Amino acid sequence: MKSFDLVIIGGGPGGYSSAIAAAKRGLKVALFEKEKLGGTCLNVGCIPTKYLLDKAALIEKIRSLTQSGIFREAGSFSFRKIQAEKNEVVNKLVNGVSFLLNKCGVTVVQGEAQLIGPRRAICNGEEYKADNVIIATGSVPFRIPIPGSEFSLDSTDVLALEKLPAKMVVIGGGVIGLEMASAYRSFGTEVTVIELLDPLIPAEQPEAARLLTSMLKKRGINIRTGSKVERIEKNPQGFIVYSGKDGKTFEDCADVVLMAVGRKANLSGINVEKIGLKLSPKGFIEVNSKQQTNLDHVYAIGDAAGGYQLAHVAYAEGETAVSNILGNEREIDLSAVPRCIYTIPGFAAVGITAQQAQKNGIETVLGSFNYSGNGMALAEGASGTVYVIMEKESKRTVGVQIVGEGASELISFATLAVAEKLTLSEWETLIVAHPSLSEMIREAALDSFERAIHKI
Amino acid sequence: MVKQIKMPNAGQTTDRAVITKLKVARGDKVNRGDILMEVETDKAILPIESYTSGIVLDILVSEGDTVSEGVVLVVLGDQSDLESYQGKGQQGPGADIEPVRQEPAQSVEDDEYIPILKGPVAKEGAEPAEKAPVDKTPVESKSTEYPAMPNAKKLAREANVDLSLVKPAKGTIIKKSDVEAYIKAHQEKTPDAAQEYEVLPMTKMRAAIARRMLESVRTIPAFQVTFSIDMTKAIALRDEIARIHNSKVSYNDIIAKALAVTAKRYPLLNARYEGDEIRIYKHTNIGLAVSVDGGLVVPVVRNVDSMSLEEISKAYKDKIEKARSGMLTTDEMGCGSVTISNLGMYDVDHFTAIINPPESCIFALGSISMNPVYADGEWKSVPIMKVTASFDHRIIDGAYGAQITRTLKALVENPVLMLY
Repeated sequence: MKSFDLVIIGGGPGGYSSAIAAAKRGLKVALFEKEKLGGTCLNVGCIPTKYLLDKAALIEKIRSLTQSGIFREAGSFSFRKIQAEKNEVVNKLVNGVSFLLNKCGVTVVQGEAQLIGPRRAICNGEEYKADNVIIATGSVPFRIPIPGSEFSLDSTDVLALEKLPAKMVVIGGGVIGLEMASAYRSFGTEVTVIELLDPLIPAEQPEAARLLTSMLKKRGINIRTGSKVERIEKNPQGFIVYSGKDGKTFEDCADVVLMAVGRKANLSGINVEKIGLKLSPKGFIEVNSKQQTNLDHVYAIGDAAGGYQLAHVAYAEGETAVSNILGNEREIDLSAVPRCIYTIPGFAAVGITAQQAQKNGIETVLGSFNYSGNGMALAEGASGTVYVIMEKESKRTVGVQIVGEGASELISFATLAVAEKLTLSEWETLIVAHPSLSEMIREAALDSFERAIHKI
Repeated sequence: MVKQIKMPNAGQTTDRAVITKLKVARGDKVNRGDILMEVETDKAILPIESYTSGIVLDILVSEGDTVSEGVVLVVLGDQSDLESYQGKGQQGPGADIEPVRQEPAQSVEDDEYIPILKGPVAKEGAEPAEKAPVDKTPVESKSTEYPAMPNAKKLAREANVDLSLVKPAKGTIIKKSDVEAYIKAHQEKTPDAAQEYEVLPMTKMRAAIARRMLESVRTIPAFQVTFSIDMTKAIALRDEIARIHNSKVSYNDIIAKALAVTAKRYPLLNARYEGDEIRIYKHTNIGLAVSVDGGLVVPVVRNVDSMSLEEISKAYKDKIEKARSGMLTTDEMGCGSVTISNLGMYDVDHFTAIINPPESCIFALGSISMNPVYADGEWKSVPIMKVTASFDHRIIDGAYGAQITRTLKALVENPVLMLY
């Protein structure tokens, strides 16, 4: 039997970052990964999606430059090459993670660990004992049980398509569905998104959600909200997706059907009942603000612990867990978590919306600034709008929402403003580089109290 | 630029196809869309079209070859490629001049490139991005490893040959023949003992069994019915014939007789599924699976319905003897509608047999064993034979099949009913 100070199950962003953090603080750490280091994010999630979206955005740019006559010809591209290069980028990152773990002295065990007790694991026939355990097993795609759901692909499959489909139906208008829809639409696929809820991304600021929806529609993505998918049928040409809305039935043909309706906790190997681990009603591992489960010295982080399914939240939760293991009590603070959708154009948000503030009895004002009033945006041919939500009385920044190019980069600046609750007077004295898209955040903040310079 | 035409995906059910006809020869000019060759899958004949125009530099397959998806079939190029391609061939393996190496990944298909802008701006037939400078970069000759055909790779793997030592005759792609030539030249150096397994020569009989059995499981939706026959009276009948006529009939003969009688009431026993139609034959022709050295054969006795048990027995004895001595002629096989397969002598309880296409069914006979049966208020020891019938569902449905097995059971259990 091998003994460790800390055993981490799962080598995704949460798992590997916790392993490195703990090892750097002197703990003897073992990390178990049954597939590839980097988990969903690196291998079949964020990173490969972003590779596709980057190429897709470039293709969109070429299209617009050709239409305006700056380029004489648009040329052509190879989807197969994009896929091949994407795999190289993923491999590079996976190797990078492996290198970091090795350098920090983390024992990486390739194989599926089975928890046979709260702090005992078996992997590849060998038994491991740990003083502390972090469960970071992540999540797996979830399929709604409709007839023909077996004909649908999940995001992992769609990322690995070898041929560009002519028509694609995306079931689920969440982050994953919209990003895939955006990438394939820009490559030339005819895309239809079917979403049960109405409107899209209902938890975000309605003005921003509406703008994003209309901009995606303008790019040629068919979006049908408030529509329930009933069944998928196969025919010689491909698949037909039947969906209902307001008593009407819609039939959408597709070569590829993507089911992106959410992800559930991956509890494979955890033996929840045997070790007595408590789950939430939705089937995620229940944790407190210190990432502790109901079992002593057993922590859970990332997608497996529910909440935000974001790699950067998993990082934060992992660091919180490691800190508590080392005896430095720390609670997770998720009040300023950036939420990005890497569509074309992009969406990013941080903090709360005006509606959420109102529910908590806080009166807010909403400032906005359109990309068309920003020099940098005009130079780049970018369009969109920045929204800033400020408390009316204290004049503090509580939320920012951005629709438009560069949203995911701009949001870091906005996150700092929300985390630090920047006040109107602080915004007024802040100097932002010109020309830059970042200026728009300051302008939108000032606009909340009608003090924006480049807006009437 | 040298371009490769690869075997496309031939369909969902198979990834293998046989080259049936070459339509072009080396040196021919072809246009985009021209048919280069025909391949046959288990389902259909597919024409292989050229995606581009050019001169046929080389044909890497010949008629009768089995190919799978992705295999390079034909190499195309223009006039200048023709010269350099042939030049390479003449220089042979020892040539000092570095060959223009053709990366498979770089000889992309024209239609792999998707136009960014569809509509008036994108010109039809626009040249794909010019990549010549990349393509023509000579590669260090010392470390050159040539691309190899899949069958060449396979052979090299099996024969334990390092592919990097094999020089292609044409200087471009290593073919199977190149590997064979290498093996021949290095015969002494690679002793056969180093191999860990031996390959059984694929005899005609084995190939036929492999092909027909695979065809059966792939194309016949078969279902099985297992039932037990009380053999008490069949055994008595056999003993009686032995005592009176001093001749031996086998249980197979009795079953064959019973099948022929059953077929009078259930004529689908005489049916064969041929050319997408069900043909019901007038007479009952029954095959018997006979194991022989290296395989099995199924001789058929025709018109069993018009024969006496003695005649049936004699006919099968004759066929078995011919089968064992390899004297069967082709018209003595492959004309049945039903086959009997008996493994009873190997102490097999019961088994399922694979239908011999295009027959409608096959009967698998197990051994006769004493079984306890509860009847008339007491336990009795009864000789039972378990029989499993496999039916082609395209011809025979479940209820019909069960009626056949019920009738057969009744006849064997009471052989006297065969007179009725």
